Amino acid sequence: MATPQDTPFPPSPPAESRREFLAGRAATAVAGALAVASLGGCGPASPPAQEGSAARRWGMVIDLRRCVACKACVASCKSENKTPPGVAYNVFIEEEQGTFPYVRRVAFTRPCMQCAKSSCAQVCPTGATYHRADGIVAVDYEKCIGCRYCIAACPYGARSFDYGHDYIEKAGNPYNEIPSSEYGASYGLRHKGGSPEGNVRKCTFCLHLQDEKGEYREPPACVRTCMGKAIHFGDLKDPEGVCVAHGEKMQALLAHRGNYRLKEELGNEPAVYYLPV
Amino acid sequence: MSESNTHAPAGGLRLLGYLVLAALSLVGLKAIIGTLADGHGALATTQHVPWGLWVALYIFFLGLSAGSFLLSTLIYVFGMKSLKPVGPLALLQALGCLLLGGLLIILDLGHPARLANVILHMNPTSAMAWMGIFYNLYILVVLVELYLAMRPRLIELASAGGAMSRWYCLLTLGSSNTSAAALARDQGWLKALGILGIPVAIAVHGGVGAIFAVTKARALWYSGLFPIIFLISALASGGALLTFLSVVTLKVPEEQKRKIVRLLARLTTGILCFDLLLLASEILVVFYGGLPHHADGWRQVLFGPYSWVFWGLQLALGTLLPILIVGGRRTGQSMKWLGFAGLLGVLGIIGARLNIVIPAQITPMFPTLPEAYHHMRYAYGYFPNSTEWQVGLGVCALGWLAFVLVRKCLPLDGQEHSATASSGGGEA
Amino acid sequence: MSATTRRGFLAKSVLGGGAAFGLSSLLGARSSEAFAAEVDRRYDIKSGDWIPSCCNMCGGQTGILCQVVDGRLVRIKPNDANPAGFSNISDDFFANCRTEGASMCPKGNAGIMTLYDPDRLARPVRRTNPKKGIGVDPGWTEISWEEAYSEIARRMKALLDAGTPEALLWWSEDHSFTHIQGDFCQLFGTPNYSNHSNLCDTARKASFKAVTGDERPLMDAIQSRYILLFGWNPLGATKWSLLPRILTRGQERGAKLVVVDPYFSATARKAQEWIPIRPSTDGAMALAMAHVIIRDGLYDKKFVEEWTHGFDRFSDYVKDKTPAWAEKISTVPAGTIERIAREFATTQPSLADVWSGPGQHSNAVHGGAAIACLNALTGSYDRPGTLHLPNKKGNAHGHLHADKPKAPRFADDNKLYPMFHGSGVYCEIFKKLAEGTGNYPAKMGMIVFQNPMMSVPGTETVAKALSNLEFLVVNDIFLSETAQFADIVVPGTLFLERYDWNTQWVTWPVLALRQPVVKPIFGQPAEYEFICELGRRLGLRDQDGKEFFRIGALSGRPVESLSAWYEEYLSSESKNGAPKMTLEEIKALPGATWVDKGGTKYEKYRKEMSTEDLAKATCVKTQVGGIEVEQLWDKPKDQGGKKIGTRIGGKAVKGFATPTGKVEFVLTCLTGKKDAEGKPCADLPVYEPRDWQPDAQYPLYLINWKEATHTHSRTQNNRWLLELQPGNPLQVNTKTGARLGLRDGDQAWVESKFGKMKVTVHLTEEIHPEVVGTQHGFGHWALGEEAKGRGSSDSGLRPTRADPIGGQAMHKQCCVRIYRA
Ligand SMILES: Nc1nc2c(c(=O)[nH]1)N[C@H]1C(S)=C(S)[C@@H](COP(=O)(O)OP(=O)(O)OC[C@H]3O[C@@H](n4cnc5c(=O)[nH]c(N)nc54)[C@H](O)[C@@H]3O)O[C@H]1N2
Ligand SMILES: Nc1nc2c(c(=O)[nH]1)N[C@H]1C(S)=C(S)[C@@H](COP(=O)(O)OP(=O)(O)OC[C@H]3O[C@@H](n4cnc5c(=O)[nH]c(N)nc54)[C@H](O)[C@@H]3O)O[C@H]1N2
Ligand code: SF4
Ligand code: SF4
Ligand code: SF4
Ligand code: SF4
Ligand code: SF4
Ligand SMILES: [Mo]
Repeated sequence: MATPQDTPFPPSPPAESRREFLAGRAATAVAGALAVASLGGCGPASPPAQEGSAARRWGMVIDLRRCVACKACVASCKSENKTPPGVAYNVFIEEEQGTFPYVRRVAFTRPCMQCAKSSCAQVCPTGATYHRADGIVAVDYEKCIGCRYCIAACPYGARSFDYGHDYIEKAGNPYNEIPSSEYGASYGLRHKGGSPEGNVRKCTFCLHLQDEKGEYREPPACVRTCMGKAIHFGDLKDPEGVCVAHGEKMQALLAHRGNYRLKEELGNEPAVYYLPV
Repeated sequence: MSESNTHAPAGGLRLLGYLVLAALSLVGLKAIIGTLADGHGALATTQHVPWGLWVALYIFFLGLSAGSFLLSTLIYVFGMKSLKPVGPLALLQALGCLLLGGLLIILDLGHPARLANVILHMNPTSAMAWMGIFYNLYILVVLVELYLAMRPRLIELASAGGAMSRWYCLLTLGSSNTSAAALARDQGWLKALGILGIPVAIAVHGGVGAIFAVTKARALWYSGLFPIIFLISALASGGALLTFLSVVTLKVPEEQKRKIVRLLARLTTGILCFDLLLLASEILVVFYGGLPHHADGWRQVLFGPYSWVFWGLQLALGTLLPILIVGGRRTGQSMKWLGFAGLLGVLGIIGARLNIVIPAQITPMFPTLPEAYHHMRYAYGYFPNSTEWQVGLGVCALGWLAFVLVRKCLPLDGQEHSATASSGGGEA
Repeated sequence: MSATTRRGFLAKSVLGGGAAFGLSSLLGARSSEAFAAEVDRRYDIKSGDWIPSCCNMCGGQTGILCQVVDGRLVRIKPNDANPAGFSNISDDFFANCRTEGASMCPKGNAGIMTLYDPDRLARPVRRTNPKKGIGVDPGWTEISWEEAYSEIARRMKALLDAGTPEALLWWSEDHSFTHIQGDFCQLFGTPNYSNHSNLCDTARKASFKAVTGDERPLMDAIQSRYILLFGWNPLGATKWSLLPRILTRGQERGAKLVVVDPYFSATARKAQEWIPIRPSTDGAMALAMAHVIIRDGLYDKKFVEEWTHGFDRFSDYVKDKTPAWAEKISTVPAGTIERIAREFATTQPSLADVWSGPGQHSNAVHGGAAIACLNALTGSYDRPGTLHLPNKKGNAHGHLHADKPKAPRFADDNKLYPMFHGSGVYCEIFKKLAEGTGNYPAKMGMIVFQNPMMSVPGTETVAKALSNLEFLVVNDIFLSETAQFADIVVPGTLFLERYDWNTQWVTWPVLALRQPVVKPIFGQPAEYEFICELGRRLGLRDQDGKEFFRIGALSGRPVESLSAWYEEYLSSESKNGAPKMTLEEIKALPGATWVDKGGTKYEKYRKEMSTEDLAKATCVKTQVGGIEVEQLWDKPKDQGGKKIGTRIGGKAVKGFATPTGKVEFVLTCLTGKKDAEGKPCADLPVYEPRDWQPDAQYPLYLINWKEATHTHSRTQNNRWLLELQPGNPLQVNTKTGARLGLRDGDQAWVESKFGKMKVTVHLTEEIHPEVVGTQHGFGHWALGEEAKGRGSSDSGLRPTRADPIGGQAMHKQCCVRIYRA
C-alpha cells in the first residue's frame, strides 16, 4: 500500500535522496519552512511575470486516497482570492453510491483544469480568457465583457460569473477594505460596475503567488492548506519536477498509481490529474 | 391585438392596447436602467445556467430577423414579384428584431460598455466573435436595403407636401432621382445586397446556432444539425411573424393581400414541417444512442418539469396547430385564421428558443455539481424572475410601440404606386 | 513596505465604433472604470506582518500564520512550526513538516469571516425587558463599558458583602483563558467554576482514566497497522488539523481503518470497512471482541501478564459475551465481530479508540472502558502505532495563595459523580438551578464563551435555569441564544484578537502561543482583561494580601495596563512551565511555538524511577482491588502529593497512573462506588443497555455528529462556511423513510417524549435503518442574521441529564418518532 514516492517515516530516508529532495525544493524557492523563517521583513517584491514562464506547465495531481472531503481547499480558495458570494473557483463534488450497508462516496475537489485545449479560451469572443505561457488559463478582467459564453462552454463547471454580491453589506467593515489578491491585487477594491464585478472568474492556480520569474514562492492556497496533503502541485513539463508544497516528484506520482483526468474524452487535456482511491 | 386594417378593433380597444404596451415599456425601461446601474445581481441566472430568458429572447429576435430577411430575398434576389408589397415590411421586421435582440444581449453582458471588445479584440476561434462581425455587417446590409426599397416612395412622399414631407425628405438622404435607370440601379443594388445578405443572414443566424453547437460541454447543443435547425426555425419564425404582420398591417387591395398572406402562410408551414423533420431526426438519434449526457438534456426538454413548453407551446400551439390551420379547408382561406396561425407560430418559436437555451444548461456538468456548493447562484434549475420578465416583456412592448410609430413614419406599403409595382406572379 | 509597480497591460479605450455599438457610448456610465492598473503590492503574500498564532475556530489550537496589512487581517495560513497542523508524533514532525507543510481545516481558513462578521456584538448591552424566555425579546439597549463594569461589579460586591460568594455560578470554555477565571472564582470565594469538558468528552476521559490512569490518550495512527474507531469521526470532527494526515498516511503505509458508527461518517467514508452499529451498544461489541481474542489466545500474553490488573476476572466475565450475543444487541453480524477481533489482535501495532459516539449515552463510561480494554489485551498503549499516553507538559498554572471556597458546590456534582471531572457537571447544575434544588440559592451567573442553550441537552430546562438567576452576565462574540437570557452581555474577543497558551494535541511537550494578530476590532477588552478589571474593582486579594489582579506575576510590582498585567501572567506560566521561557522569548521562536526537542517517548510506564526521585519519594502500601500495591508519591498525600510511580515486579517504575500502576481490566477506581443515581457501579467494563431505549411510540434512535465544515453552535453565521454547509437535514435511511412515507426533501417533525423539532428529511443509504441523525450546531434562533432559522437543533429533545458516572452530558441519547409536517 505504501507508495514509493512517500516520504518514508520511519525508516528515515537514505541521506542522498533526502538531500536531493531538499535541493529540489530549494530550487523551486518555496518552503513551508520559509514561511516561518521569513516572518520578519522581506525585500520589495516585484510583479509576477505576467505570462508566466514558458518553461513550465503547472499542474495538479490530486490523490483521492488522501483526500478526506474536508473542503478546506474550497474555504482556503475563498480566503486567498476573496471571491464574493456565489463565486467559487473550486468546489467539492460528492456523490453517494451503493445501498446500505455497502455504500461508498465518490468525492473530489474540482479546481479549474487549466486545459491545454481549453473550451473557455476557445469560445471567448474577446480573448479575455487566454492561455499564459505556463499553461495557466487566466482572465483579463478588463477585456472581459461578461457574456458568460465561457461558462456555457467549460465542461467542468469551473467558471463563475461575478454577480456583484458582497458578503458584508455594512459600510466601513474592514473586510471590504481588503482587495482580492488575485492578479496581484491589481483590480483594487470591489466597487459597483468595476471589474471583477460583471466578469467571469476562475481559478488561476493562484498565479499571484508566483515570483517575478514565474516560479511559485508559495503553493496555491488549496494546496497549502489541504488536510490530507492530497493536492500535489508542480511543473508537469519537467520530468523531475517536484510538488512545490510537499516535495514529491510529480511524474513519479503519475507513474506509480493509475491516474486519470476528468472527461478525458472531451480532449481538453486538463493539467489536473487524479490518482484513484 | 388587432388583426388587420380591415379587422381593426374599435378605437377604445386600440387605445387600451397602446396603454398596456406603454405601461409594459415603462416597467421594462425601469428594469433596464436598474440592471445597467446595479449589474446582474437581480437576475435569476446561475453558475450552471448562465444564460436565461434574455438570451432565449435574443435568439428569438435574431431568428425573426434572419427569417424575414431571407424571405425578403425571395423578392429582391429571386424575383418573387407577388410578394413585393411586403418587401419593406420584411426588411423593417429584420431590422427591428435585430435591434431588439441586440438590446437584450447587450443588457445581458456583465460589462455592456465593453461590447466593442468583441471587435477590437476579436478572438478568431470564437463563434460569438464572428457573430459580432456578421451582426454588424448584417445591420448595414439591412439598412441599405431598406433605404433602397423605400427610396422611390420616399422621394414621392417628400415632394408630396404635408406635415411629414420634411421628414421624408430627410430620409431620402438627398437623393431625388426616380428615373427608370435609377430605379433599375436600385433593383440591381437590392439584388446584390440581397445576395450578399443571404450568407450574412445565414452566418448571423447559423452563427448563433453555432455559438451553441460548438459547445461540447453541453451535449444537447453539441450537434452539427443544430445551426441548421436554428436557421430553419428562424425562417419559420420570420415567415410566421411576417404572415401575422401582413394580416394586421399590410395596406394593399384585399385580393392581393389574401394572396400574399396565403403564400406566406404556406411557405411558413412548409418550413415548419421541415423543421419538425430535423428535430425528429435529432431527437431520435439522440435517444437511440442514449449517451447519458445527450439524452439527459433532451429528457429535460421532453419530460422535465417544463416539458409543457415543448409539448404545449413549441409543438402543439407553435407547430401542429398552425399547420392544421393553414392546411384547413376553411381556415386556410381566412385572413383571421392565417394571421392567428402566424401569431401562434411566433409564440411557438419562443418556446423553441427557451427549450434550446435552458434545458441544456440545467443538465449539470457533473450530476451532483448543484449540491457541491451552497449559494443561490449554484442552485439547480432556472426560472426567469420578475426582473427578467420585466425586461423581456418590456423590450417586446417597446418593439411593438416602435413598430407602430415607425409604420406611421415610413412608407412601408402602398408600393403599388411605385414604378415597378406589379400584381401577378403568385400562384393561387 | 514594498515598491509599487505599474503593470502595463491595462488602460485601453473600451469604446469602439460600429453601428451596433452606438449603445456602448450610451452606457458610458459602466465604462468609467479607468483601471488604476496598479498592482497593490501591499497584498502580496510577502508583505505586511506575518504573525504566528493558534486557531480557535474549534478547540483544536492548530498553528496559524496571520498576515496583517494596515491593521487588517488578510490571510491565514498553516504554521509549519506547530505540530498541531501536521503530526502528533515528533519523529514525523521533525522529519517531514518542513517539507510537507502543515494544514488547516475549512473553519480555520474561514476565521477572517468570523473576525469581520457584521453581526458580532460590538458593545455591551443591557436588557430592558425583565421577562426572560425563549423567543422573548430582551429589548437590548447599548451601554458603555463603564456602566457594564460598575453594574457587574456592584452585583458581585453584593454577594461578597452578603457573605455568599458561592451564589455566583460560572461557566466557561475549557481551553481559553481558563486559569484566570479559575483564579478569579477562587479569590472571589465561589466553588462553582465549571467548564465545558463535561459537555464534551468526560465520559471518554473517565473510561480511559479508569483503565489506564490517563485521561486522554491520543491515537498514533500514522505508525499503526490497524485502526479501529468506535463512534469517533476524526476526519469530520477534525479536532486538530493533523488528524486527516495521520489517518490517511497510516492507511497509505498499510494500516486498515475500520469505523464502527451508525452513520457513514466522513471517517467511515475513508475506512476500508464501515461497521454500522446500533447506538450505545459498542461496549457489547468490544466485549465480544475480547471474548474472541481471549478464547483464541490472541492477546499479548506478556503485556497482560506484566502490565495489567484483573485479567482473570475480566476473562471470566467475557466468557459468555459471544459474538452471537453481541450481534443481538448491536446488529453487527457475529461473523464480522469474529473477524474484526482476530484482525485487530493479529495485525500489530493496532489501536482501538473511541470518542463522543458511544461517549454521550448513559452507559458511556463502561462502554468506553470495554474498548479501552481491547487495547489492554493487545498491549496497545504507549507503543508506536497504538494509543499514546502523551506527555502534556506545557505552561504551569501558578500556585494561587488563596483559601479554598468554604461552601460546597451548588449542585454537589463533585460528590454525586464517582468519576467527577474538575469541569463540573453542567447537566446537574442546570437541572438543580431550574428546579431550585441546589445547596443554596444561586443568584448570579457568568457565562464565558459558551452557548448552553444549544449545547446542553434539555433546552427548556436550561432556559428555566438561566431565568432563575437574578443576574446573568454573558461574554460572547454574538448575541447567542444563551445571551438572550442575560441581563448584561459584553462582547468577547475572537481568538485573532487575544492571547492564550496552547499545549498542543500531540504526544510530546509543545507550547504554542496565541496572540492578538489584530487589535480587538471594537476596541473591546479581551475576556481576561474583562475579568481582571472586575477583579480590580472588587479589590480581590490573595492570602498574602496581594492585590492579585494588579500585581504582575513576574515583576511583583503593580502593573496598570490590563494587557501588560496579563502578559506577565502568561509569561510566568511559560517561565515556570516546561519551556522555562518568557512570553517574549516564545514570541520570538519560529511560529511562536516551543517544541520539546526530546520528542515522543514510548512505553514511559516501563521507565524506572531515578534514584534521586526514589530517594525523595514516599512509599504508600495500599490494598487495591484485592492486591497490595506499593505506590510511590512525591510528597505525602495529605501535603498535596502526587503519585509518581509504583513498584512493580520489584522495580520502581513510572507505571500507569491507575491505583495499581497497571492497566486495569477491573476498574478499581469504581469498586464499591455508587453512581449519581445511587446505583452501585460495576467495576468491570460491563455492558448494560443504556437507560432509554426505543419503544413502540418512539421507535427510532436519534443521534448527531460533527462535520468538518462547522464547529458546534458557533460557526453557523460564518458566510463562507455556510456556502460549504448551509444546514443539517435529518439523515434517514431510504427504507426507513419509505416505511414512514417520507420523501427526500420533506419537512417533518421529529418528536421525543421531551420535545420536537422540525427538520428537512434527506433519504440516504448512509445510515443504520433504526437510526436517524443530524449534524450538530444548526437550528439557531439568535446568534446572527445568517444563522437564524437554518436547520434544526435537537437539544430540546433530550432531558438535561449526564452520564451517572463521569457527568458527561448525554447528547446522543434519544428516541424519537418522525412524521411529515
Ligand atoms: N468540524 C468540527 N470538528 C470538531 C468539533 C466541531 O464542532 N466541528 N468539535 C470538537 C470537539 S469539542 C469534539 S468533543 C470532537 C468530537 O469528535 P467525535 O467524537 O468524532 O464527535 P461526533 O461527531 O459528535 O461523534 C462521532 C460519531 O459518533 C457517531 N455515534 C453516535 N452515537 C454513536 C454510538 O452510540 N456508537 C457509535 N459507535 N457511534 C455513534 C456519530 O454518528 C458520529 O459519526 O470533535 C472536535 N472536532
Ligand atoms: N446535540 C448535541 N449537543 C452537543 C454536541 C453534540 O454532538 N450534539 N457536542 C457537545 C460537545 S462535544 C461540545 S464540546 C459542546 C460545545 O458547546 P459550547 O462549549 O457551548 O460551544 P458552542 O456551542 O460552540 O458555543 C460557543 C459560544 O461561544 C461564542 N464564542 C465563540 N468564540 C468566542 C470567543 O472567542 N469568545 C467568546 N467570548 N465567545 C465566543 C459563540 O458565539 C457561542 O455562543 O457541545 C456539546 N453539545
Ligand atoms: S476547466 Fe473550464 S475554465 Fe478551466 S481551462 Fe478548462 S475549460 Fe477553461
Ligand atoms: S465572459 Fe468574459 S471571459 Fe467569458 S467568454 Fe465572455 S468575454 Fe470571455
Ligand atoms: S489553485 Fe488557487 S485559485 Fe485555484 S482552486 Fe486552488 S486556491 Fe483556488
Ligand atoms: S483540502 Fe484536501 S483533503 Fe480536504 S477536501 Fe480538499 S483535497 Fe480533500
Ligand atoms: S481544527 Fe480547524 S478550526 Fe480547529 S483549530 Fe484547527 S484549523 Fe482551527
Ligand atoms: Mo467536545
